[in-house]
Amino acid sequence: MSVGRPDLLELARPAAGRRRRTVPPVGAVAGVVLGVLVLAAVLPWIFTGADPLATATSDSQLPPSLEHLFGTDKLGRDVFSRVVHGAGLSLSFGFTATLAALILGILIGVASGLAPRPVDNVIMRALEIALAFPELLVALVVIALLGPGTTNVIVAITVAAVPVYARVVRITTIQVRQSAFIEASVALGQHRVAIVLKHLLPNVIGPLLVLATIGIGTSIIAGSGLSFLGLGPVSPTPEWGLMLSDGRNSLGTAWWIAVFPGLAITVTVISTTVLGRYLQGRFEGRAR
Amino acid sequence: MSTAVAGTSRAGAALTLYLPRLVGALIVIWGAATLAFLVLHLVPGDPVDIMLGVQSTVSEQVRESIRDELGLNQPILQQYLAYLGHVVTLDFGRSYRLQQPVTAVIGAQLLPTVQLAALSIVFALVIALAIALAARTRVARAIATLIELIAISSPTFWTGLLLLTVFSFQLRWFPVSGGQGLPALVLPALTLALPIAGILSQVIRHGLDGANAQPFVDSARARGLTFAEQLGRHTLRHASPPAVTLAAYIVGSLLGGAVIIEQLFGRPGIGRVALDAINNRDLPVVMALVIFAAVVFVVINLIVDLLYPLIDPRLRRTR
Repeated sequence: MSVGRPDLLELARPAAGRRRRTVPPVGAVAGVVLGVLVLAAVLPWIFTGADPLATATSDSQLPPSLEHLFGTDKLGRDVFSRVVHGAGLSLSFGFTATLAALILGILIGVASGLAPRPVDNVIMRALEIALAFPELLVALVVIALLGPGTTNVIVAITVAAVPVYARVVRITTIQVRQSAFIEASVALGQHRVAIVLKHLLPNVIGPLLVLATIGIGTSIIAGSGLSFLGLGPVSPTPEWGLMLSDGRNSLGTAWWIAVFPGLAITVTVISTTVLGRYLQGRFEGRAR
Repeated sequence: MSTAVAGTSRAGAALTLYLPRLVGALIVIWGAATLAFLVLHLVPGDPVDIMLGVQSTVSEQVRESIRDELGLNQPILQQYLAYLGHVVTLDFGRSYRLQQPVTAVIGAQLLPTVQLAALSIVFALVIALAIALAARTRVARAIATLIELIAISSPTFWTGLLLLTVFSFQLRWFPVSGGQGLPALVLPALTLALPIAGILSQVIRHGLDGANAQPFVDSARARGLTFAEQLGRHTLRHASPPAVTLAAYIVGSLLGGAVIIEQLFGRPGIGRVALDAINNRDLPVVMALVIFAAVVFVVINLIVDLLYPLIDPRLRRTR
């Protein structure tokens, strides 16, 4: 499992000035790669006509060729087609869980940041306790309670990701709450809900989107990791983590069955990380 | 710290410095234990049913006597207090599935995971330092950034498979699976170490950049210290605190990562215990592991707090 918890990557960020000159093309490339992956997730048949579930025992474990770009697996299924069709489920782990975690994180973080001191303290302590556990462990506990399955995997990754976002939102909320424009809005007699929606939220969401972009990658690794452990979708569903664990047993004879789905995960996660850091650079450039 | 003055004011200062941290640490463990208790009681389904298994034909009378024995018929508050008492005495009950005390189940599998984690940390530190120190020119920096990015972004269950393919199946240097001896430990530890090395190297590199901009480095250079001397006495010390801050998180992710690594390499250990417990809904084991993780986190953080002043002289005698 990766240690790339999005808020901790902040610690390791290189200085902004030096990076911005070289990064834009890289950021654009990452964006394009991610775009292609999303396209594969939504419309897989653009990329391949082969059926990801069609078995052909005569074509068992064929090495990569022009006909089968990524080779075939034990049951003669086309690995390229399975990787393309697997994008949907694997990406949805990342996107769905991150979106849900963002919403929950914003709710908890804003509530905590605006709450009276004692309430805020309790929520903050609870977040700190939650952050004490590695994300995978939290996700595993949730799975232990809910049982395995695709939906439960998404719920588990969401629960594991919420504390990170909630903590960042809470800190920004407290910072923004003290700023002059909020005081001015209060003095002008605007409604509290209006102030939160119009002034607080836009300021809170900006820095969060950068974290979330990187968080998508982390969630994809977590989701495919849980699938790899056999806690998510079940065979023959095409899903990258599950394909890897299927391929593990034929590693000695047919490396391609496991290598290509893993490559897909890595490429996806690299793109989200690079894009996230690029957005971060842009965001800071504007703020300065 | 080197001069052991036993004055009362000194002891008092140490007390005011470390007491809040100790209390904070206990709060984290209490929180984890309480969460575990709530979860055990909020989980849908009768614990006795889970314990006996789905197809059991045990009569309602026997079930009732088991409930009595486990104290499940007492008021919830009383159960909670009794539970806290058990946790304090390290009694986590019996595994539903294995019918053994949870402490024995976990204790028996602790060693392989500790060995794995320890070797991983060594690998991670060596790789991270090697990358960070090699990245001194522009080109080397770009390569280091790329290596770090790939190391952080690759899922361990994939890098592990790649290492297995190359070093076990093709070159036959290491065994494919199993838990015996040092050779069997190398690939799993390396796999677990790679993403940690990636993030550590970034942090150390960042810290070294910051240190090199400090006046004390200029003065060290002016005194004619070699690069290695500067590094050992000054810059690495300056770069260490952020990396040490990550220690608790890194050990935590080693625990989580062990679940995947032990499954991938067919090794025994805590991760295996966790996965078995999850697959069988053996909740006492799961919850004991949660508390175990909390204790590990808290202990590492306390050690880190004590280490700071030893690493960075500027943090000594403050407050």
